Amino acid sequence: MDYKNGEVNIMNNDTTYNADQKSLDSLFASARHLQPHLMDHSFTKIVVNRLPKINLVAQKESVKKGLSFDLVGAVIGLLMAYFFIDKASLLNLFVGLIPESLVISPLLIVGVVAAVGLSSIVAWWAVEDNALN
Amino acid sequence: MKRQDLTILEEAQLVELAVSKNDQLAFAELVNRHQSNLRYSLRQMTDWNEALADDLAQDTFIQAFKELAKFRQQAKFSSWLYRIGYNVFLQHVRKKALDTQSLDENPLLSNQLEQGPEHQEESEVHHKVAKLLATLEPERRSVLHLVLHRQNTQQEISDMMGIPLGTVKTHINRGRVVLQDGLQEWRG
Repeated sequence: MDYKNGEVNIMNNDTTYNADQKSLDSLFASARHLQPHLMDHSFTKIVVNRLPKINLVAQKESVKKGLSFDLVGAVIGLLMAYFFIDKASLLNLFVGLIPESLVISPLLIVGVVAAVGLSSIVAWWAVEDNALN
Repeated sequence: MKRQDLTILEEAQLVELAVSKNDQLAFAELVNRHQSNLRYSLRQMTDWNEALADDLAQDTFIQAFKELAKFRQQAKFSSWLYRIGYNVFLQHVRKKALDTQSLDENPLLSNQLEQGPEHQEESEVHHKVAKLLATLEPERRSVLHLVLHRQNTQQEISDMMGIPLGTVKTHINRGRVVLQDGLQEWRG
């Protein structure tokens, strides 16, 4: 097999890396070509015997019904919001949140950089920690 | 519908039959078509623990049956099934550490190795790949199996496993390095 023969006359690290990549790919290619068709024996029978007694027809209907209920709920919610919420005061509330002036001081820049840096570190740690678990 | 008639139907038709007519035989035909690939993949993920892989494969098909009504035929059935299989595998890993068996302790594998030189060589390759993959953490292991064995694209893997494309790329790059190191160690 290709992966067993290993390239011997390798002169530099890049070539070693490429040779390793090739042998890794050829190992998996061998496994792919030699993948057996696993005989069913009683596998399918066991699965069918273990299937729960559920009505898929009714389940499909309930999935459809669930979707329509969601849609109807969303439409009713939007209509209620349109008629009952005071749009002018809501708009004023948002406008009031916008500052009239902004002073960019060195302290503000340091604060923003620190906040961005800290959240990047937290995000990186969360992704790495998740990858390890 | 008879079992023989089902073998000529396409997967989409089988799913439709199973869902709209509650036809368990149609679902059995889907199991029959996909059992070999799924069981093989799960063996690769469980360090070739055949009993465990078959249990996980059964759980996968049962879970698939429960969710069949929600299956929208935009994705391939095999991809959807693999996604469920991956989640079942991950749930198992989270519940307890994998009960890996050595070559000598696994009677089924030992029997396979006694089947003659041709089968010996085949089993050796599969076992070697499974051992290599076992050095990776579960999510990375699944990604490397999908890209190197099943030859799925990075986007397909991302969709199948429900993880961001960037994470898939990271898994592939880092996983390859670990597998290459493992392969070099074997060569001595």
